[in-house]
Amino acid sequence: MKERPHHPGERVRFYGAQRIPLAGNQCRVRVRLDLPSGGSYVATADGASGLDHELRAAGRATLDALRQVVKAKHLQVTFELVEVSAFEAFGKPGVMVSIKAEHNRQLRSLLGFSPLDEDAVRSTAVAVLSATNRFLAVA
Amino acid sequence: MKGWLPRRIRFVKSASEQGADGRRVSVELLRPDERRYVGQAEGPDTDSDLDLTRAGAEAAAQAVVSAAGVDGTEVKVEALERVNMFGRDIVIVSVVATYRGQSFSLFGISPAHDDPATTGALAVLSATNRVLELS
Repeated sequence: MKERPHHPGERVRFYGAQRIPLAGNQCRVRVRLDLPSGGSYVATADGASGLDHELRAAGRATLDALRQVVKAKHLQVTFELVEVSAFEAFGKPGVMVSIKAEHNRQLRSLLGFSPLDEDAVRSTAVAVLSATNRFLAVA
Repeated sequence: MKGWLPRRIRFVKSASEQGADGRRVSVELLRPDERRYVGQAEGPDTDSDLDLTRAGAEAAAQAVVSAAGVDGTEVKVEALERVNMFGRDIVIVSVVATYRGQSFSLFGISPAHDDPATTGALAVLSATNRVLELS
């Protein structure tokens, strides 16, 4: 498929995230991304409760939402979540994500970081966007 | 990176040379219209990787200010840390940027490269590109 012109510099914006407790020590995370030119992209992911599981679920949901953006913009890009981890940077908690991206049969490893605040889902979503934004022209 | 989605600004190279009082690091950025922007920073007279990384970050910050092309733009490297995550060394940088009258606290990240100054420069670019509309 031929790629259509996109909006250079248009940023995928984090709109909101939600953590929904489920039965059986499970939880669902919901992430919404917006494009300033129009369009909301929502994705969810389920996982076990607990910080590490929820960070991973948040990463999966954010990437799923981002895949919707990519599809809407007719970009030939794929993403795969490799790792998500909480750690300490500058004496404060942070979250780092590692993502594999492919475009035109070229693979690239992307890294993203965000301070980890009380809303771990939001922090992870921001880390994912920070990993993808420089590579993805619409981000 | 031919074939990848376009960026408005690219890292070209970093270079360091021994000056009278320490290492001088320069970083060069390139816009698609071939305009080039060079930033420079002085580092301590050591071969410490972390010092050279910081000098590369500060040189990149200066180049980014020039490339932004907006009066009043400032980019200051606040802190820089090297961590081992996912089995590799990664540099995280904390930056405060002022752009179009607004201040932003930003974080950037880069895998460690053989040249520490390049690592610092790429970390700063990853911090600033989204806010300074350089991506």
